[in-house]
Order: sequence, then structure tokens, then C-alpha cells
Amino acid sequence: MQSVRRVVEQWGTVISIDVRRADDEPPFDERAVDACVAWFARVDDLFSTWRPDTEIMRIGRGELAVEDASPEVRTVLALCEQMRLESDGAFDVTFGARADVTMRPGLAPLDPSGLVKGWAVARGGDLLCAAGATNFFVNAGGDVLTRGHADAVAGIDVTGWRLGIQHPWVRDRVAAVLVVSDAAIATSGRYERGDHVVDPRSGRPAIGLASVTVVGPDLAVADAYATATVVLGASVGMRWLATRVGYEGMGITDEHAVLLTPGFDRYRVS
Amino acid sequence: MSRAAPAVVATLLGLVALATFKSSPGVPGKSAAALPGKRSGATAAAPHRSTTTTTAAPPATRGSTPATNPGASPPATSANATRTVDGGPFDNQYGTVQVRVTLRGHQITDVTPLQMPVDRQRSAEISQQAAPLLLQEVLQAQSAQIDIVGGASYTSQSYAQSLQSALDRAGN
Repeated sequence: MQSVRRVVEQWGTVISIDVRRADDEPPFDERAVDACVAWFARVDDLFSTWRPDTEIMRIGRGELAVEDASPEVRTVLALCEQMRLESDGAFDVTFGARADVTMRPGLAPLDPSGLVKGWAVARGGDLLCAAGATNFFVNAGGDVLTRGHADAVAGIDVTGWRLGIQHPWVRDRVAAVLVVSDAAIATSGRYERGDHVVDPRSGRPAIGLASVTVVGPDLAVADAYATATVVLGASVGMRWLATRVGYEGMGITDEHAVLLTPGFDRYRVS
Repeated sequence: MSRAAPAVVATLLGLVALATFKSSPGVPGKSAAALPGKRSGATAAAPHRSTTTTTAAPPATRGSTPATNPGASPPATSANATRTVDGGPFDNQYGTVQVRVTLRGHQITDVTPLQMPVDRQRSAEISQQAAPLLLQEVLQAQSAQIDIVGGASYTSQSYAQSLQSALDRAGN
């Protein structure tokens, strides 16, 4: 088993890329990983809310019209608007522009960060696929894209990747172990960060759900769904999530209960 | 879905099942050998895969109890040498986290914090707890045969980042 592994610091977090090949397969061309890393850097140049010169910050300040922005930025903002409508405002990247919102470092008038990471990782995965990678994962600060399986070993039944979801309170534990193959897995939640998910409709911290993990085909959508579900809360949010076609989720409530959408168990092994 | 499905949510719509949360649902029983303090190297954790190398991880142990590593040929002496590698510093809202990893061969035998945030009350609480608990997390993830850890949080994420960078520098 060959493993091409790359770890880069990007977007204020760390991105791990891991491509696996069986020994009888030709070596994977690492230039595809280089292209992936270069793509992540371009995403930062376009979307970072920590630098004043990015397109997203210029749009937020009214210095750049959306229609004059890069195709990537327009694509992401269109997807953000779709998510806002779908979630009835629970996911809203214009939250920072509200008059009653206190600005803080990293919060911008226009802040699609919660969706951009997943979106960019998904496109990075497309680059790896196009270069012939069949078994790999990309993990960007806990948001994960997987393809194929971990070990392409002849005669060994390997059905996917084993993914542990970090426990919200007990840091030496995982809250669940999933087996996923071609999937996107996004988690939103508070952990020890305090009430960091703000309900954009009220401006108050979201309560009820400490953590939501969403599994589905698209990491950008999974990312937005996870955030929206936390905002919507345990009862409304998990019901809403259960009606998202192609996506399943696990929510952990403040009372330490686990809420699963009906199809989530097919991913879960413990 | 055979778990207890109480109350409101499930009955109203039948959409969401509510399962009793277990505080140790990970892989109970498989983590005992991986708790911190056991620095004897008996953790039987899966070696981290090296970049473009063939690993000696026995695939048959995936998801099972830690193996005794029966079939593997004895590694070269140099591969068993103990060394320490420092990870990079990573910032979060509470401060900077940096860890030092001790490896015997490709196996993590210890993780010690070089820097942990101390600048605020909340940070102090985290600093007091984070290192030992996070050490368990790191080692247990290996013993549980997990390929990937999803989810994220500031301090533990910074910790994982620093650890990851140390492993990267070690060529582990």
C-alpha cells in the first residue's frame, strides 16, 4: 500500500490530503496534490475574511459588485443564497452586515466561511479524481471528503474509511464511528468554544444542539446544513435535516442525547 | 433504529430517532491499552502511514483488538530508535498550542505540550485539562483504528494541528 500524504496550513486550520494506492498500481502523480494545494491558496485569496483585500471583503464593503467578482465567488454566493432560502434564514452569510451585530475579528459583513471550506475541499477532491485518485480523503479542520476506501489490499474486505466524530465534551472519546466511502462529512457545533454558532435571525447564540454532523454527497451543502441545523435547534433542526434529500445527520443535544435522522445508521458502526 | 425512540420527535413525525447517548460510545474496551501514562510502548497502535512507503500495518487488525503484530518482520534497529519532534505552534482564540511528540520508530509513545494557552480564565481551565485528555484522544484514535477524525474545536484542533505537523516533520 502506497500512501501519498500532504499536510498544509491553510484557512487558519490544517488540511490533510491522503491518497492511497495498491502496490500493483502505478504511483500517484503528486502534481495533482500540488494543484489541490494551490487551489486552496487561491480560495484563501478570494474568500478570506481575515484580510482586507480579498474579493469577499471588497464586496462586503461595497467596493466590488457581485457581478464583477470572480466566477468562484459568484458561484459560492449563489449557493449561499440557495442555502439561506432552503433553511428559511437559519443559514445567512450576510449576518455580519446587520446593524445590531457587534463586529469581532474574522466576522465580516459578508462571511461565507461556513460554506466555502466544504465547497473548496470538494473541488480539490475533483482535482484528485481527475488525476486518477480513487482512494483518498481530504480533511480540512474536521470537515472531510472521502473517496473509495482506506486500504486497497487484495483479499481484505475494506468497505470504506473509518471516521471518528469527536465527542463534544469528552475529548478522549469519539461520539460515533462511521464507515464512509464516497461521502462528505461536515460537523458544526460548539465544543469548548462557547456559543459560537449565532442564530442570524435573532442575533443570539443557537441553543439546544451542541454538535451536528451531516453526511451526504456534497461537502459545501453538508457544511451549510450542519450549521443551519444547529441554528434551528434539536426539534425543528433535526426534523428539517431529515427532509433533506440525500443527506443524513447526527445531532448531540445539550442534554447529551443523540438524535439521528432515519438513514444515519447505515453509516454508523459504533 | 431499534433503539429507544421516545417521545415527541419520533412520534410526531417519525423522522428522527432519539437514542440514549452513551458517554463512551467510541470503541469501549479497545482503548484500555492506549491510555496515557502507559508509556511502555504497548499501545499496539497502528503506525501512521509514511509518505509513499509501504507500511507494515497488518490490515487484518482493522477494527479489532490490538494485534500482537505476529507476522511482521522485526524492524531495523534504527527504526526503533526513540526520538522527539516538535510540532509547529498553532493559534486559536485562547492562545497558542504547540506539542512535542516522542516516537519509537513510527509509534507515538508520548505527547507533551510545549505551549498551551493561559491568557484567560477559560484558557486556564482548558490548559489544565487539555493536555492529558487530548493525549488520550490521540492515542485512542489510533487504537480504535480510525482513519480520520471529523469535527473540530479550537484548542483540541490546534493541538491536533501541532501534532500533525510534528508527525509530518518526523516523516511518520
